[in-house]
Amino acid sequence: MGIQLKLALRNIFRNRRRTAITLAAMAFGASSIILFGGFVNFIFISVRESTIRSQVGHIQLYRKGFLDKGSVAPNDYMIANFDEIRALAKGIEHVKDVIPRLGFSGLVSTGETTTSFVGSGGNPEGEEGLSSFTRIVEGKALSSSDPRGVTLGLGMARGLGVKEGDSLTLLATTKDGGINALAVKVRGIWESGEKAYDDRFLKAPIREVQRLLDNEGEVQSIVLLLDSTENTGFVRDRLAALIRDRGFDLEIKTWEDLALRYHQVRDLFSNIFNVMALIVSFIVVLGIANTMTMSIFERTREIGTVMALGTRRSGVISMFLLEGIVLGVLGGILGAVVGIVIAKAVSFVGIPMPPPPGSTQGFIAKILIVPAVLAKAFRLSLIAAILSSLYPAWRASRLNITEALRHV
Amino acid sequence: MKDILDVRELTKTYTLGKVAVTALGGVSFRAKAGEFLAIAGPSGSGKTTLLNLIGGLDVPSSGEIEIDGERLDRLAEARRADLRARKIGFVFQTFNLIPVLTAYENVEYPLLLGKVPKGERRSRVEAALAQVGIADRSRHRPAELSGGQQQRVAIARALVSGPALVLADEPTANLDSRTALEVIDLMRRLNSERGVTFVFSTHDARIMNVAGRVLRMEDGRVQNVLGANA
Ligand SMILES: Nc1ncnc2c1ncn2[C@@H]1O[C@H](COP(=O)(O)OP(=O)(O)OP(=O)(O)O)[C@@H](O)[C@H]1O
Ligand SMILES: [Mg+2]
Repeated sequence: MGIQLKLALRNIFRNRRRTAITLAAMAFGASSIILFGGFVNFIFISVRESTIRSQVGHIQLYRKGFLDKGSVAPNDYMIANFDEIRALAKGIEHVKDVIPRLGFSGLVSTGETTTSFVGSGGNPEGEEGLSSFTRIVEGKALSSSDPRGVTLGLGMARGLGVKEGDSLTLLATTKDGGINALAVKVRGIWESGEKAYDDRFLKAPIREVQRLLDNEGEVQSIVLLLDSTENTGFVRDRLAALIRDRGFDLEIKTWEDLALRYHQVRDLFSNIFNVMALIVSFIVVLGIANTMTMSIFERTREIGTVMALGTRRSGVISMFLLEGIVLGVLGGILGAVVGIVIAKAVSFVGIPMPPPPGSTQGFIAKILIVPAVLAKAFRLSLIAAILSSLYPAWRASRLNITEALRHV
Repeated sequence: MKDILDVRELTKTYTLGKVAVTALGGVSFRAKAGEFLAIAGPSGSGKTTLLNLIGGLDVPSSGEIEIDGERLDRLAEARRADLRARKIGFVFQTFNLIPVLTAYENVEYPLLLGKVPKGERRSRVEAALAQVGIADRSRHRPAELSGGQQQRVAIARALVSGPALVLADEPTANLDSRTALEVIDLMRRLNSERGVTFVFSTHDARIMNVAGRVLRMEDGRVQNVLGANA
């Protein structure tokens, strides 16, 4: 072991109490970064997964032009060969579900009360993957064995004053611009946690919706659910190759293109996390600088001695910088250990969280152990230790040798 | 014997605010290789100041210092540090061992600065510790050694790299009189048997008695030089 490292280690453990306090401060800093970062990552992944599972899926396919002009003339941008595409997509590794989407809107009436709705036609058998977003509170989910059974948001059901088994009439504009009506029954009532959605939304089996809109066999978009979000890139590339080879007139969007709210949440929390990390690092820097300054003051005569023996001033700087680095490494390791232990303990118990904005259900949060966050906490400890040793080390190296030797 | 030290017209003036204190007012002398030279004089006469300048720990206001043929006063700071490591050994009144290092490691330190290879380092450290009679304490830290033992380790550290000159500012002032005598004896023996050149300051008449020459200072000047071919 080099003399420099030997000196650094022994000097660090010379004043055990002070070193313990400094290391505790560093461990506190590093572990708070790990804990907060782990929590924030849990939120990111929760928002990401809930957005994917309940709304956008992992990948969506559209007719080219639908996203730009589809809102004005949706009927011009329908996908006619859904069954063929489904068969091909199912053949790709990691693809779990291929779900047709057919959005529509119109009026829903009980005979006494009438209100507008936004609806989606889904494939009753394929929707499981996407249904975790809504929770049935009364009745049952859509089923192909009950083609006329629709499900409503809780807010809409209350507004209409209907319950399971009640009859409703849906009115919508057909593909050719005519008006069509469809008699349906309330099969189930669900809640999503999003009030605006629960008040306005209904779901119906896609074949009935196609009949109502008079566009047999056509869908607006196709949603793919995968076994894991990590495989999105892989499946996207395979789909792109497939579309190119077959000459389909389709475009691909992934959840990253569609989950706008996820990106907002991520940006917001990343900023909060960075500000927090900065404040913590600043406090740690002050703590170590204080320790270093005290320790250098106490060792003034030793510094004079090693300089008298022929150590250059640059050697004195590196001596104290190395001490800072060793302190930083120790504090970083300790912080990582403490952070991981607390994260595991807290996750074991779970943090009950209030409902997020726009939602009616709370959730249990955990703290994830994220390698990137661990690395960041460790890096910050090290940088903080080096930064806070710089000035004291420089001061030590500027000491006047004869005065330092006289120091008691 | 050739001159190992040549000091010419050395002055040192400290300015405290507006008052200028002349600590050295033109000191000249020479020392030959193998000398045992004492610097005596009342408190405040400039002994420490002179030794600090010779050791390159401080810079003179004017004058020249030549050590083993090298002009110390002309060197930049880092070069002076290197010259100290190569040519000068220091023994301090307060021993000044590095507390976190063992006796062995303290003696090894100058050799590490000089980048002496490992095997040679070991044999030189062991030889130096043996010469000062402290080989059995090599694993001890300074706090576990008596003052006399610490000063022996410090002497081993001063001579381990084979310096041209060992400087000692009142090396026995912090020791009881018996231990002081032992340390003087050791220095004297290293001087006569090994040819180590010592230049040291002292108030102790007993050391002056064994010194080859005594440079007597008064008010920052050499008052007289007593002893062999003075
Ligand atoms: N750093 C300094 N600043 C100002 N004056 C100083 C400084 N160092 C020494 N002096 C002055 O220089 C003169 C010589 O001091 P020096 O320490 O060399 O004497 P000394 O012979 O070693 O004394 P002692 O026997 O007490 O150790 C004294 O007048 C002292 O006050
Ligand atoms: Mg003195």
